Amino acid sequence: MTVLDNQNNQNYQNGFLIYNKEFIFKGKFLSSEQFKIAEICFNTSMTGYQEILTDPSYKSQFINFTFPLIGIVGCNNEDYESWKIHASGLICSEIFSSSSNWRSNINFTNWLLDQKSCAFFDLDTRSLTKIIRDYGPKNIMLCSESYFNEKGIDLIIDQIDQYPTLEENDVIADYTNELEVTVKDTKKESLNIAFLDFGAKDNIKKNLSNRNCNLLEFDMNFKAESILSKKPDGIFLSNGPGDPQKVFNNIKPELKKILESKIPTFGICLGHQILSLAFNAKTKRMDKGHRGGNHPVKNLETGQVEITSQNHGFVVSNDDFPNDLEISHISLFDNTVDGMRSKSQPLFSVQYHPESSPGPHDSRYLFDKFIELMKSNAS
Amino acid sequence: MPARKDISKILVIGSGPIVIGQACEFDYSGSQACKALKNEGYQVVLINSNPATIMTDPEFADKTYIEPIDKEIVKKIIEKEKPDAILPTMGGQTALNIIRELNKENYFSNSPIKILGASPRSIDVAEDRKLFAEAMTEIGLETPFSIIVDDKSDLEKIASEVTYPLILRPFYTLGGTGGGIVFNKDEFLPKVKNAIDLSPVSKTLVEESLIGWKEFEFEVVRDKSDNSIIVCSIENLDPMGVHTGDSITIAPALTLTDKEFQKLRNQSIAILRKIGVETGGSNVQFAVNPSNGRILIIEMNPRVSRSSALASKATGFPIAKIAALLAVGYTLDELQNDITKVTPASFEPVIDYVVTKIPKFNFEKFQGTPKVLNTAMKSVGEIMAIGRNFKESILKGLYSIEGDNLGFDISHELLNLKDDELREQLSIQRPDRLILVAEAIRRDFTIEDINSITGIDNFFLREINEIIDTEKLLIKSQGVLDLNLITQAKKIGFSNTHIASLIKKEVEDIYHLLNKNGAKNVFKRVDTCGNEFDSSTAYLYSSFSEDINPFSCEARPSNKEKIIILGSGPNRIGQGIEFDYCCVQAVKSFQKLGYETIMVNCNPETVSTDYDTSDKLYFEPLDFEFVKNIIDRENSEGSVKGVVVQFGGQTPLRIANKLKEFGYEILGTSFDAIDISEDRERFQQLIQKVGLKQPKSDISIGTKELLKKTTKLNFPILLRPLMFLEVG
Repeated sequence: MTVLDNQNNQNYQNGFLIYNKEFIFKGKFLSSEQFKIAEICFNTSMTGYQEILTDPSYKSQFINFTFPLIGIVGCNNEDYESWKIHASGLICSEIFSSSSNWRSNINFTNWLLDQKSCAFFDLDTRSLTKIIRDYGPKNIMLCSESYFNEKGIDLIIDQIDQYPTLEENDVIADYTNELEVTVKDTKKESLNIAFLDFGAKDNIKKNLSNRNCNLLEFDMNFKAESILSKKPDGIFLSNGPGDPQKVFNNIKPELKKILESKIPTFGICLGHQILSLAFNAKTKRMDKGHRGGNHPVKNLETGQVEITSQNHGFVVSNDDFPNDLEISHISLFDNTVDGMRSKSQPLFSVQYHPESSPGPHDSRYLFDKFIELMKSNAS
Repeated sequence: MPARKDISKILVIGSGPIVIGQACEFDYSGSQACKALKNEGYQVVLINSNPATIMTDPEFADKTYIEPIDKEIVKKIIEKEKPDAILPTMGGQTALNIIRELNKENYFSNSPIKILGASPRSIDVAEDRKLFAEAMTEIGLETPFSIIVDDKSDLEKIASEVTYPLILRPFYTLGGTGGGIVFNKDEFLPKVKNAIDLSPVSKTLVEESLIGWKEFEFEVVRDKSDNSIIVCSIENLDPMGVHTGDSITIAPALTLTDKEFQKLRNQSIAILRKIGVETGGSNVQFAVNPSNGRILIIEMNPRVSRSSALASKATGFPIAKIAALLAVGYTLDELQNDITKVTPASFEPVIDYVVTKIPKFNFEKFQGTPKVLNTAMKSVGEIMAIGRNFKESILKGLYSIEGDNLGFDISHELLNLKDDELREQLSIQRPDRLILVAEAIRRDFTIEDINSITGIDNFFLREINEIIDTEKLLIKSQGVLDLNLITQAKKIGFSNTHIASLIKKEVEDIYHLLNKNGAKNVFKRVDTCGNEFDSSTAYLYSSFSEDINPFSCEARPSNKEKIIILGSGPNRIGQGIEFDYCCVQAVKSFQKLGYETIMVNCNPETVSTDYDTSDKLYFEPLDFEFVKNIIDRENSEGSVKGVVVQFGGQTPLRIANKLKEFGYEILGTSFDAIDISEDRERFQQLIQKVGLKQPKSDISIGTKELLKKTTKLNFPILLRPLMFLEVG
């Protein structure tokens, strides 16, 4: 979509992306609002923008897509990873308002507007990626040209500085408030899993359901007693947005009771970080995060390399790694911890996304492993 | 696990002479492989009959046999050299066929020689369409309906039973010679018989036509521990029915959702496992029905190919080099990504630009051959272009191909087509179909209409539409310098020269306007990772930015003294691999003298466009404006000592005059000397002046003058066009 389209499309206007006083990008702002502030990150996936934008882990973040063309295949009813767009908006080089794919039933820009999301485009996203990499993730503002001219740069910088950081922001609480958990009964013929939803992607649920699991869903405010009373075969901790320490602090006592039951447990992403924290590992903020669909991970048990889908800005630290746990997977990009298992109970977790969507399916075996773990525990 | 210790001497089989369907991409892959294996301490013995190749230079192998690539000769070499292993996956179909032939004789059954990369069995399964179809069925994948026929088949019966159109794919012919589309029963017998005749095993495949389906290719690399990665996905702009070598292709695939992409990825890897490609690179081709997403497997090549050369250049991931190292026992996680030097080779490259490959045709050299594309390859070379968006990429591609027109401009001959004639021509798979598509858009044919005639995806048509809309606005603004409009045109890839010709202004006016407003040509790096990591490798392409920050341009010119070597552009009849050989040799010599060498070329098949051949590589059109931008940028730090035009054949000579005019130093043979030797009239004068003899000749412009002048000469006379690629 270019300036030429402007005659037929009144939905966007000239705008600015303000990273800080030094780095201000001109571009086009597609939004119903005059400005928006959020933390910026970048994602290197070349496919799957619909899945990425609807992944709850991206809540309160702007995603800078390094792939320059976004929207070509439109959007459809199947490729949602939750009920709506959770990211604060997207930044890309070029955006498309006509779709070309047999599955598409709405074009990308209309979908964004329907979803009350926003986009900033027609800028050099490659140099923006470099800036995020060198100067770190931080809150930035996207705004219209008129807003920029009206407020002036100093006031805008103040606004950005006063906006709460991702650590200060209670994104998980916001998510939980919106989440509708359906209460389900246990099923005799299925494996019943207490599914702790901190911002879960739909494809995790699909992968478990397809393996004959019955998901008993709970949100962050779960009570150990109500979970244990259902006598689940397994406990699952999902991915989700925000600082893991913050979520962990909220659920620490209840989680402790559950883990003491030694029911087979599996965690993904935020779930992995929470479980690691529960065993006294430390988590830390990463310089630039891991977000993309091409991340090589080494399985230390088999020596195999998996190409994985990743999305995390926090990571479990290698330093002071607890004795109770064992590192099972590492990132071949930077040797950070990508998976762990407990030495004393049936519990494992991975930092990356075996459910992918988007991304390669190399790590789906982990769901099978979880099923095995539950079955062998039962027998 | 490091390299295998049980082998020490490896025989690498080259691909022999350049033929249509098999060009210098195998020199690129072969030299990469030889270099990598030698580096690992192996003794490399090479057989290749093509002396114009870089790989046959003495330094690439320990021993080089310039001999015909023939079964008996290969046997003799094996007996004399006693290699421990043979690497046949670098020399195209020629090399694989030698292994098949030897294997048929059971030559390897009692031999300790190891076949690296692909086993004889896997070569058979991949090449034999029946075995391949069976293998695909076993892993639950679909291939198109097909039947194999030979000279004993009841062709009459088959002809009356099948549904048309059908596709012919004769067995083991280079570039699919003899293949084609059969539209009706009348065509069946002659075409099928011809296909059988051309096949060395007298067999051809007759299969379901997939006209209008989309075609995708996946380049896969696998190691002995069963780690697989997709290096690159490629989408053919032309729908099924045009040989992929003749199609305009785009990387990465642009019109797949992640769900579809991952299906193709999973299937590609499953196919490599099933066929039994233990290590190395392979190419898998798919047809996808655009209306329901149904996927069919077309073929797979258990070796490096022209597509893998393209994928290597498109992503910066050196498939042949990595494949050679995997063949001797390394695993992907043990090898380093050469570009970033901080990540392993075991990740999947991501790119943040769009790559376009456009084939080069030389139909004018084959009088009588209809200018129609089908499943037999007809192109003689190709170019690749890189842009930050599809529009920029395709326009740069059109500037690179050295056609007669600028961008999508149409030739006079086609301009006179009436609308209904244009519509008819659009339905033919002409080599210049894209130019006709642009013309149809100019004449307000609807996108839906063009899509239904051509089968080209609406996305690509809409993109071309946007280019044509911009072109129209530029023409409308003739005589005016509209900054907004020109900036917009620059962003989608229009060159200053093109804009100047459309708005009827001088090129300098446009330079001046853009400079004054801070908008600039910038150079971006090909880094395999979308800028997630810093890249120390100077592999660059140009783009445009109106909003400059310290990271916009990544050319990072050094303060050294530099020499720019212009490459030879696309291969064509009369200009093959030899100029690439010259350029690479020149680079090495300049490096020895201590200069920083800067290569400019747009041919993805070549060694000169390997990112580690020169100190710096600009993958750009060999067009004056693009070269000028590079020189100016490089001159901003250090200094460009001069430009070398004499090793690139005719292509760089086209711009030598202009370089001289703008005051750039031309190193080596002066422009004037080049001109004397190229201009027959000046050459004739020179010969006369120094008192040498030359056959009597004369020059005429137009046929009238020609007839008059022939009276001065005795028949038979030889006619030669002027300023043409080295004729004769």
